[in-house]
Amino acid sequence: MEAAGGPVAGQLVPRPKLDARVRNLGGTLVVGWADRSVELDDVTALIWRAADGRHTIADIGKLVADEYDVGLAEAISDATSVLTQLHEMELIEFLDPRPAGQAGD
Amino acid sequence: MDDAITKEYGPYLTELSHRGLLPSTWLCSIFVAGSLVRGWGNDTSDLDVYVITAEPWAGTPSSLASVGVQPSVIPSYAVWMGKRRIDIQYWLDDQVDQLMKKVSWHNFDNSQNSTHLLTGPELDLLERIGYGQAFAGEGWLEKRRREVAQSAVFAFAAARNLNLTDFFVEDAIGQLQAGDVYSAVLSARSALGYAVDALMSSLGEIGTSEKWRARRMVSVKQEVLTFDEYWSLETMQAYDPTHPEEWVDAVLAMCQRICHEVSI
Repeated sequence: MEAAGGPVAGQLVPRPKLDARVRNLGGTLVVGWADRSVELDDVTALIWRAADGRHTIADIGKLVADEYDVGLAEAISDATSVLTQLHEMELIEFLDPRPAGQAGD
Repeated sequence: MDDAITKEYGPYLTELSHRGLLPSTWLCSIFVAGSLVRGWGNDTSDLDVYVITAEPWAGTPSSLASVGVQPSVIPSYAVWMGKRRIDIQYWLDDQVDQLMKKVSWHNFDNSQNSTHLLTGPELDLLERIGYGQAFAGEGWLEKRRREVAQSAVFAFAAARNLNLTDFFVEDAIGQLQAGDVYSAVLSARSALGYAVDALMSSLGEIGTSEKWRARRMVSVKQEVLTFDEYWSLETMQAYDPTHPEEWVDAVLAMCQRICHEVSI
């Protein structure tokens, strides 16, 4: 399932691919896959952690907005960009959107 | 020395001494450890006795344990006293010195792969120094306890367990993809065990015995995984035989969540 801009994309539920290897090096998250690895900056790490297979991109955007005191639309757009990039790196997958009316926690 | 410990285990040490199993010279420390000493034992539990000397023990061992320091074996002796089995290991102080160097932060920062750095007897000793009770050489044990606390042993143990978690996660995914669901379930169980052990190791509990994992979970205060969550997965409460892949998926996701929080 591809992430795309717009309200539909906001309802996608991302989560790390299960074969992504994660290390917490003194508070910095490093994600490894195949023979590569990438260090996550603070915003990306926040998004990565929140992408737990239960929260939608919109939920994650709200989390970013609250944490960094930015507008919700901008935060959702940023979260979408980050998750799309992680998806292209094959580190994130998008699960089927949850049924309508099911709220995030 | 704790009076209760002396009362409980003193007679065993006296008997070992009478049988010539405790050296009277070159002695650095004698301490007892294991589940009994931690308060986790029962009537059938063994008592582990560690004898640390400056010169090799002259007796005849009943077995030899392999270690990665020199000399590369630890003479061991097992003896029964009534219904209680007593396991004695004879370590040289110099071997403990080498072990402490092996788990230095310098070594940790320069190590490419920590998975096989420590042998079982070495990890056991380092863990047991943490809570062992000295019958002789209390100063030696206290000094070593401080060294262990300041060493990288917890980081080494956590890194080893994380590597093993990755190994079994990878296996479980491959087995699921191949349709080998039963093997995937077993691999996921192993991955969960190592992930929990990684979490415990990073917080100071480096024990490796599966049978004490629940005890370790109870003894460590942490907010990553509640005991109920852990126990539900460990005892496969949500396992549905008609959809085993769902349980595997949930366990692997939990392993990943734990790995996020194990700081090394």
